[in-house]
Amino acid sequence: MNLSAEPDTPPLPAAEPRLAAGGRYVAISLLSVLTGLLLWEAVAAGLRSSLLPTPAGVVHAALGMGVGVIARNFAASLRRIAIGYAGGVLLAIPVGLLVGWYRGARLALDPWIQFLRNVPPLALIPFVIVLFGIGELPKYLVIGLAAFLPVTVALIQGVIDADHVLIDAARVLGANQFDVFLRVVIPGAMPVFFVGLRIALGNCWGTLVAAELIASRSGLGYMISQGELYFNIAEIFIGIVLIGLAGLAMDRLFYLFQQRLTAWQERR
Amino acid sequence: MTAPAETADAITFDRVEKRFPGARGPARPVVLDFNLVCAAGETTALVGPSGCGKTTLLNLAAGLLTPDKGTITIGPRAINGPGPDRGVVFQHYALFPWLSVRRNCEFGLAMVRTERRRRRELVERYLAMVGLAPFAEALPKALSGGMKQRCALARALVVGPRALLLDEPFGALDAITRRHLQRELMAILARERKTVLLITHDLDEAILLAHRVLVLHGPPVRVARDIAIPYPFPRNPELRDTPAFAATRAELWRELDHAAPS
Repeated sequence: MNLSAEPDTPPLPAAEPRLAAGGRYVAISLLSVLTGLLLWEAVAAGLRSSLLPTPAGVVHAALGMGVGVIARNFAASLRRIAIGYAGGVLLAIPVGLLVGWYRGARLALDPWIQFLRNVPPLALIPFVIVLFGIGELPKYLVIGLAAFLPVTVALIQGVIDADHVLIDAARVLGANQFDVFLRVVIPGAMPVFFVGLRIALGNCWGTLVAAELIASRSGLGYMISQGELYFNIAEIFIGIVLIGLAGLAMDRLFYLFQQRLTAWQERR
Repeated sequence: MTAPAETADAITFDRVEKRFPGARGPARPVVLDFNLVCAAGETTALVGPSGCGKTTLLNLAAGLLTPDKGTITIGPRAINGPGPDRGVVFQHYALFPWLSVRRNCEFGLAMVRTERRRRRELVERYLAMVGLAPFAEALPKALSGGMKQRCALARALVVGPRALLLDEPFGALDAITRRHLQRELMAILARERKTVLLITHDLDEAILLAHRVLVLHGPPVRVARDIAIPYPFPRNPELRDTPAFAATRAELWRELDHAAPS
């Protein structure tokens, strides 16, 4: 038996127009970047100041420094980000989930998390340098902390804010506490988890560069500090541009992931 | 048509008490020494002013709440927690937004470890019954309100409950969609006998769908009026326009006006 269909039709997703719109959005973004570069070129060319190199001048300086040197510094920074970030996030996932889920754990750990959250990881750099020197370990630690805190805080909130109606719905369908946690609480916390991941990434770059400025012999932050030392403005710009581009690329990557994994969300 | 197999169980409230902690002072009884038998295979509609305790009764029957005193039984079994013998449909659908229509419907079967092939089979059958088969792979956000509630109904039915607990199931829908879904629910109940507890604010819906309408006052909740609705099933929605229906509606209204806090 097929019962009469309902008169109201569902809003079916229109795939093609959205793709076309996506192309237009990319075009707008690219146009904006090009305009910015042209403006920079125009202003720098007009000023003719040694303090503001032109984009072409920066590229020229980069080639002069040698792509190998830049790539080595870039790789050093990326490695620190990758290791510190991965470590911080991997630790944040169980901590955030458990602290969010168990009231006892929350009461015990929340003061610590809130305390640490308000201390910028930067403030810890001098301390970890005293403790561990200027090797790689202290950098992993501060970057890890910079990633750990936002992700933990986001996950805790995501778990606490789990939809109680959905939890009830799962329970009446026979879900036990573990099922509820795995199948309702965790998927429900995904959107806010991704927000935490993206904030953490920005935090990590900031902390990394500061750490490299203060105490390092490689990395983009080191490059920038060398540029300052030898009054090589172009070198400073190379560092800034590369940091920005790497951050942008990573954030876009995350955004795509996020769109995939939280496609179920109702968006306005 | 052969008589449907006996798949329903009576729900019995026996001297049930439930208190909720107040902001200050002692816990306030929402349910106090409450007795009710909802006959097997019958639909019992609960109407009453907001806050009178009807949702608490439903949550007690669902096992989402535990009574402080007394017992609630379904058939021979005492209720102490949610179980697959009782399906619940919530007012705002409560579909898992990250699961497709199909996976929403499979949820309960996965919880009771139904074998995969059987799971598919059952879900196909119930999705077809509520007219959602073409939308099996859609996410809830792509569905209209009526379709979401059909999905929720299929999800509750697919595990084969002996009772359905419906908390204002069509309250969030527009009048046309509501009418359609009322008719479909009647058709489903004609095929699969269930004991139904129906909370509604729509008196026409209560009279049309139920064997018996209870007007509740409270808290603490009590049955102020118990009206048997004699029309045979399946009922025609045109019944609403008959004088007898109007008289029943008026009688219920009088009782509700009486209960309204002034």
